[in-house]
Amino acid sequence: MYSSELIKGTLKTIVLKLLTSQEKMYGYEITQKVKTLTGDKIQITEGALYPTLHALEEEGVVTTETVYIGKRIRKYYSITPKGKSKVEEKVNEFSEFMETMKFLLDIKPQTGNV
Amino acid sequence: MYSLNELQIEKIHNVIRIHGVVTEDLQLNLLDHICCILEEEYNENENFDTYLSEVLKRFYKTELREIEEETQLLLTFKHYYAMKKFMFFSGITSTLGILVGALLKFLHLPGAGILLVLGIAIFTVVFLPIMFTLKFRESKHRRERSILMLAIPMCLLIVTGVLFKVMHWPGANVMTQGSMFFTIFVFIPIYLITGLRNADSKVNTLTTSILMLAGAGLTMSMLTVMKSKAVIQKEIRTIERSDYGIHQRTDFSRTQLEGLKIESEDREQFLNETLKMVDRIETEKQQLLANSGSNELNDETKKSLPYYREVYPNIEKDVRNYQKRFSGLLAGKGIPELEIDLSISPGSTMLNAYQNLCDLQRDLLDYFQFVVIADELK
Repeated sequence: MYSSELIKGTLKTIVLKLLTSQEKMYGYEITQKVKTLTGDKIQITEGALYPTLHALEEEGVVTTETVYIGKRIRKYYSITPKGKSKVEEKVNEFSEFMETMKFLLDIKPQTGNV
Repeated sequence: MYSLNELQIEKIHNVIRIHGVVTEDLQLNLLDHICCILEEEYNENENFDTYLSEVLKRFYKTELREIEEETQLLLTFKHYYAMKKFMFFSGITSTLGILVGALLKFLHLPGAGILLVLGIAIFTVVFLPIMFTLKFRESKHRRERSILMLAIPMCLLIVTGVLFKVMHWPGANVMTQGSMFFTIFVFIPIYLITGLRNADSKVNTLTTSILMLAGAGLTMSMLTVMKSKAVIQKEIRTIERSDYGIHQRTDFSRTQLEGLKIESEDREQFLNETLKMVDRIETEKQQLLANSGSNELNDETKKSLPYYREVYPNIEKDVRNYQKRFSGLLAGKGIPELEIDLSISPGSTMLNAYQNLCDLQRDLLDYFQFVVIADELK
């Protein structure tokens, strides 16, 4: 499992990218999805996820839809057109960042480990 | 998969609320999330409460409130630049309002009060809070933050105290002097002591403290400027003498009027009106004294009261009307016009106001005599 500090900077990118692949998702679903996709290597903490989701909503890159599940309310998040262009931007930025880090930290390409 | 009942859901919601999550959206999000986890992992053999508190621990490092704070931080940080712009805007408008208001006040022009009150209100209600919020967020160390926490009440006290003082509102002296005491005996010592501990900030702290002390001392000396007792006593004696003279002359004029043979009705009216005006001002003088809480001139009279701010315009208007009415009568005799300026500058005392009224009475009695003499010379 990676440290939460490493994850924090990329959380927005992860959430937005996930939402492009699904029509709509709710908070718990997002954490579970990331967990299974990364084989437990990345575990998004709730303490970081919800503040980020609220910030994304405020920025207008995601919208919400509330659904009643019995007595409680579930908020589904989906990406907006504005969010879609933002994802590309973010992903590109991050891949450039990785290249730079590879160079900076002198990381040899590893094989067979994805 | 376990299914939660309504009571349990309500309980979880309450726990979230109690632990400092106030944003409703966030509460609902967390509630759903915790419910999902419980439905997935909980089995009935375990104690619900202990399991719930175990689950809650995954959400924070030390307190659940962290989520709320982090959310608020992320939401407000977005407004950071807008806030900064707004801060500068409100700062510039309020200071302009205060400056122009002060200038108008200095020149005795209308609109000074409104501008000052508005300027200071924007300054205290809009500018200072935004500035402190931004500064608070930017400051990393505990020292800076605690100094800021002290600076907030200090600034508010100073600014409102000055406003009250300038507007002659009650409580001004307590506020201004209180704020100065707070600055000198609480704020600066704490600022100095905490700053001296750090070797990096030592020199800066010292110079800033000295500057602040000098500023506070100077302001305080200006706020508490009061004439010495001896000076006031001398002023009072002068006014008492002139008061005595006025009473004597009024009585004399009245007797004179009775014995005079006046040819024109116009002239008689003028003489009567003049004495009436003198009496009217006498009433105002008595009113002024009554307002000072004493029936005679004494130390109390040096206090400034808002009362005459409302009375003066009326007297000025009446005297102007009187002068206009009899302008035909007075014309061509080389009699100088009356000096009707009863306006008082900020910081004036009741004594100043009383003296102004006496001066006007004396001028009116002079008028009376001018006409009488002109009559007798005929």
